[in-house]
Amino acid sequence: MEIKRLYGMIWFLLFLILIELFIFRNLAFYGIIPASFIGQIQDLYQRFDQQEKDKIEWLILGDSQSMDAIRPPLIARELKCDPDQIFNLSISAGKPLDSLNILEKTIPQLPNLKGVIIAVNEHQFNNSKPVADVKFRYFAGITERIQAPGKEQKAELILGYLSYAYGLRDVWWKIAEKAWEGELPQIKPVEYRWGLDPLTAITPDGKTMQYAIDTAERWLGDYRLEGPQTNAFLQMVNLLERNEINWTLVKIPRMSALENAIKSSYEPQQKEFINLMKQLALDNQKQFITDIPQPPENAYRDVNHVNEKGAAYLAPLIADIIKEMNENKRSLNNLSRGNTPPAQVVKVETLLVDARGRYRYTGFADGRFGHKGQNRGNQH
Amino acid sequence: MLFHTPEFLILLILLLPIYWYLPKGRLVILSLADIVFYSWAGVGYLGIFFTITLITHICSLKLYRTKNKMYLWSGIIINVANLMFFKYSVFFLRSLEPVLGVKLVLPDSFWTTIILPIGISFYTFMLIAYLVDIYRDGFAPTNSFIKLWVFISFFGHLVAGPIMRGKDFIPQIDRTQYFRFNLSTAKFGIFLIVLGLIKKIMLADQIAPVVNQYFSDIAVLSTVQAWAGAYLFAFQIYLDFSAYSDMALGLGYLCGYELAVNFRTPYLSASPAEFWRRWHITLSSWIRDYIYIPLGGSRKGRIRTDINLMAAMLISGLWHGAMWTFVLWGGIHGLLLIGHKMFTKLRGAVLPSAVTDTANIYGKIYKLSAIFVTFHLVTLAWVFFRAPGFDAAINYILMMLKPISLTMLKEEGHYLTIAGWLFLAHIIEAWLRDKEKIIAPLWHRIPGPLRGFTYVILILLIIGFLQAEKSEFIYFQF
Repeated sequence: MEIKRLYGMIWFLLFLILIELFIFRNLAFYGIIPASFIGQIQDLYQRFDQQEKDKIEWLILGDSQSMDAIRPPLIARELKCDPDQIFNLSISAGKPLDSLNILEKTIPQLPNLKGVIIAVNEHQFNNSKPVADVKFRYFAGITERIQAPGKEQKAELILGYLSYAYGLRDVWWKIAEKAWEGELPQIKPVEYRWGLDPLTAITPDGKTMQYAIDTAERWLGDYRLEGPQTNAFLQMVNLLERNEINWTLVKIPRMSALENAIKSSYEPQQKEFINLMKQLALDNQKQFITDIPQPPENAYRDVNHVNEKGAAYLAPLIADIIKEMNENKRSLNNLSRGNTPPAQVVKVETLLVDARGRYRYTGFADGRFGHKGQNRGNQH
Repeated sequence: MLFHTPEFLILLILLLPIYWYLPKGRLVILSLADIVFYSWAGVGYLGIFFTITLITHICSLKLYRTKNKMYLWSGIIINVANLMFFKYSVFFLRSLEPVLGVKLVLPDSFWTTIILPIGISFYTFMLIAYLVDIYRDGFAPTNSFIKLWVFISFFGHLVAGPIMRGKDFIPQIDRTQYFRFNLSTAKFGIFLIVLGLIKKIMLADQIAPVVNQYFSDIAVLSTVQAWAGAYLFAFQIYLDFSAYSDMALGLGYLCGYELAVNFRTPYLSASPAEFWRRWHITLSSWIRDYIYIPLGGSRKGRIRTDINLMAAMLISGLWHGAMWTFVLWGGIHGLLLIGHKMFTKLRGAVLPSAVTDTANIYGKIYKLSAIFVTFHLVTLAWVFFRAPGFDAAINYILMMLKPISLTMLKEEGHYLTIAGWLFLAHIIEAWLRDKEKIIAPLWHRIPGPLRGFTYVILILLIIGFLQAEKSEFIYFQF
């Protein structure tokens, strides 16, 4: 008799586990609203799946800024290649943990991948409030969640790991509301195949000083460089290195209003971020490109995002970067085919700045790239 | 830590298996859990709480052995002084300022840094009751400090009651290591916790924004809105507080303890006296046993009885908060109680006894009218409890007394309708609690999958209603 009274509880637990596994932990469920932060990832994967994987040689990673600024068709035109050779994996509010998960899923499917351009911004490395990032709540494992600062955040994230129904309640609740209002499913035809659609909407007052100040505050207020996103970025770099994939860090130029807002209130925090990027590039003999010329003001739709004109302006510059990466890749291929570095390996420990003001690191006197794990002579 | 937070749920998930698996270590485990619970917001006030409990423990042992009143008064004074300092010092100083014409509480002074320790009002009353019971009733105190600590600091009742008595709770604590896990009791405990979550998250927290809006901008309210705000606050505070009490009881059951019931659908009371037998039962019985009766109760003549009653209710009001509006609220209830006593006498003299006999139709009509009147008197009193100040409360009441038009009712009656539904839910709650022994077996006849599915929907609804920013329970501020 006592066992019979337990049937309700047993069925409850069973239903809960099934709902967790097949609904709340299922990316396709959130893809019902492709414009949502998690739904966009499902949308991205669907577009990626439609591409011929053999063709893809270059990937772009980043956030909405690189989504708008780096458009494969425009770059392919500069490179005089097939746009299908380039795919933009940037997502709105993209952060390193998102990029890591996306790369882990996509790299194994790309036999001819040569390189990755990673667009970086300060907000991606602000680890003070990971709980506010709904994608973090989806992707983060238990280790990342424990790295979140503050015991309330940790508790919230750990419970969210045990129960995605709890952790992503604001997301599925909105889905339920939209379903109730008859607005689902939200299917949109895919015309742009090379990543998520660049945004065209003009943000009202998006070019004003106040907007810039608000953006700077949102990105850099209570800035905290140490934490799960930064650790995820390091893991991503390691992933690329292990797979011998070339990569370059790029800081896409923003409007002066935003740069000034950041410099006036958050210069130390920005320096912290820049130094980290430089160090990472240095440690891995890669580039961190910060000197891309700023497009004119009318090439922006707000202080952080370029419009189509801006994308067209940046296309030849990004194409140049890809060309350079491609040349370095040929160097790498030479090395990996048994070519050994010259006997006189110069131990260069200082950061070299070339004529264009870009930071480069090279461990060889003749300027060739070394590769981590090989005999470089450039240990830190 | 709030009961509906992830950190509390994680604490519970970690605590309960270890607690039930290690009978001999249960008191230590509970003590540690209580310490984690209390010190979550900061370790500082844990020291004060611990020290006060230790001093009371020493006083209790000395008191029992020597019967020396000095230990009783020392213990009471230390506890009251602790409460007075943290809760009332700034209030009294600010109250003296207009009288003395001098600013006593300067900005950035020491007084502005005082923060009210969590649960201080509750643990102070429990410790005082503990000492008085030892002296007055000869109740034998526990020799074990850890048992006293578990009694006072048990996370279930620490921050908002129920106010337990040592003589009721310590015997249970004595048997802690002998508890055997009982599935029915645990399920009932979970049921109470879920019920509390529904009341708090799905009801009280949804009403709160409307109440906050109405009470923050009284000048622009219409009469209908003023009544709606008052009704909704009456239900908000009931749902909020009774939710906490339900969860406290549920947590007690999960640990094998039976805590005192604190609410019995109070808005179905037919008199102010009955209201206080149904609302915050453990507080009103504490006030009765440790203030009203020691003052003489009803043993010193009619006038003295009324004075004692008023004093008890004023202290009850002051206990709720360091603001004159709380004192006034207590005073209003004192007047209601005194008034009801007079009315009862008059009714007995004027009306036939059949009027109060609910077996007949006149009795039923009388009772329904009495419930209606009592509910409205209590609701009017709640305005003083909720309003930000005395003037605001008066303005609010004046708004409520303005005439209402049918048009106003039609256009703005939406929240009045919600208040009506809430009252109906209150009646249903009373009926369910009354018929629980019949309903539970009927419920278990429903097939398991259907019950399981219902539980899933309930839990998902609770989770869905949970917002990112946790709202505190109203009684935490006391």
